[in-house]
Amino acid sequence: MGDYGGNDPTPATSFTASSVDTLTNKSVDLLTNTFTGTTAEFNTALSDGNFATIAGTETLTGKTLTTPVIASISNTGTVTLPTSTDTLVGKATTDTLTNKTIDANGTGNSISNIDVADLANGTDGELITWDATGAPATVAVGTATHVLTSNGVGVAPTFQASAGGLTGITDNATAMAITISADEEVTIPKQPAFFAKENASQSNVTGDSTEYTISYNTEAFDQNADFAFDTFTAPVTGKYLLAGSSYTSSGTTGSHSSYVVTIKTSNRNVRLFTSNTSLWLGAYNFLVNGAVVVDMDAGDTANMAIQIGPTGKTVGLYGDGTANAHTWFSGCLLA
Amino acid sequence: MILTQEQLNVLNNVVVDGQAWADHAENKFGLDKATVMLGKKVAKHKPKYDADVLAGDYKTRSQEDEEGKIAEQEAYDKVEYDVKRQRAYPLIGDQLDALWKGGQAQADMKAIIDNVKATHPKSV
Repeated sequence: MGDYGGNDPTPATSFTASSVDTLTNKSVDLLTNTFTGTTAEFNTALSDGNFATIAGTETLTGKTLTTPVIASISNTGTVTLPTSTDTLVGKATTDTLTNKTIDANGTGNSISNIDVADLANGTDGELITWDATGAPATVAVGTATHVLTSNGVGVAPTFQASAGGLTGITDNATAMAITISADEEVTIPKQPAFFAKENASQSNVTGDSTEYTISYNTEAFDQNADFAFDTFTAPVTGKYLLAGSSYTSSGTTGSHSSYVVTIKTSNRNVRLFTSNTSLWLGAYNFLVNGAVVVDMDAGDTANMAIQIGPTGKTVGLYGDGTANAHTWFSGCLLA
Repeated sequence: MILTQEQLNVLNNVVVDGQAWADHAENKFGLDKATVMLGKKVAKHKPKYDADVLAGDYKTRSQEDEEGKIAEQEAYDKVEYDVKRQRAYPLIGDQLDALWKGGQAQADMKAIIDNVKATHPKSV
C-alpha cells in the first residue's frame, strides 16, 4: 500500500473489499457514503437496544412525546387530544361533566334509563309540564284539596279548587259529602235532616187563642245541626220535606171551638189542621199530624205552632220520655 | 245585622219580620255567611217586590197574614144559622147528662139551648 495522502508519515494498514478489518478512529460521512441493511441487521449492530421503525410493529417503553400528533388510533376511531390542559374522560371512570350539551334528538343519540332520583331537585309538590312555547315548565303547588285542572290547549294545567266533579254535578264540598257502601247504598251524612220530640208534657200552652210555637227538648238526630229548640233553619236554598205532630192531651173543653195546627216557614204558613166546631172537642186526646214539601231559602226558618181558642188557656201537649213520640217535628232537604 | 231600607222592604214583603230574619241568620251562621244568604234571598224575591211596587200593591207579609186572618174569619162567620147553633150548643155529652139528671140541671140546659137559638134565629 502506498501513501494514502496527507502528510501522515505512518504507513497505513492495507485492507481489501473482502478482508476483515477493524477500523478505529474513523469517521464516515453519509453524505458521500451509504450504509445499507435490515432493521434486524442494524439492531444486531446495536449493543444496548433496538431501533423503532416507521412502518414496523414495535412496543415502545419509557418514551416521552412532546406535542405529538396522532393521526389515527386503530380499531376505535379518532381521538383528538385537547390542546389545553384538561383531563380526558374514560368510558368506565367516574367523572362530573361541566359545560356539556347532549342533544338526545341528535341522529343516533339517545339517553336511556334515567331514574327519577337522577332528576335535579325541585320544589315539593310541583309537577313537570310544558308552557305555551313548548319549553319545559313546572305546575305551581296548589292548595290542599285542590285538584289538577286542564286549562285547555296551549295552556299549562294548574291546581285549582275542585269546581266540576262529574259532568252535571257541581261539587264545592271540602269534606266527604256522599258515601257509597260496598253494597252500593248511598248515604249523605251532611244532608240536613232532623227529628225532634217533646219528652215531657207541657201544660196550659194554649186554649185562649194563644199561638204556641211547639218546643222540642229532645233530638233523635240532627244532621248538620240545623235544628235548635223549636226552629229548623235551612242552611241552603232548596225544597224541604217537613212533617210534624201535635198531641193535645189535656185541658180541651166544650168552650174550645177553634183548633189550628200550622207549619210556619219564613216564606209561607202551611195549615195542617183547622177546625171551627166544638162538637168533637171536650176532654179528649187529639193528635194532628201532617207533612208538606216547602221552598226555603238559605237562612229561612221553620217551626210548628198550635192555636186553640177562644177562651181558657188550659190546653196542654203530651210528651213522653220513652223512645216513642207523640208531639214531634221532623224534616229533611229533598232537592 | 244592618240592612238597607230596600233590603228590609224586600224581606218584609216575604217574611213576617225581615230584621228578625236577618238577625237570626247572623246568629246561626255568622255575619259573612248570613250576608251572602241575605243577598241571595233579596235578589230572589226582589222581582216580586218590584212588581208589587210598580202596581201600587206592595204589602208586608204581616199585612197579608192579617188580611188572611180576616178573610178566614169572614168565611167562618158566613154560614147558616144551623151551623152557628151547632158551634154554640153544649157538648152532646153534657146535654145527655142534664137529661139524665133532670130537674134543675135539665132546666138550665134548656135555657142554654134556647139562648143559642135566640142568638142565631132561623133565616127568614
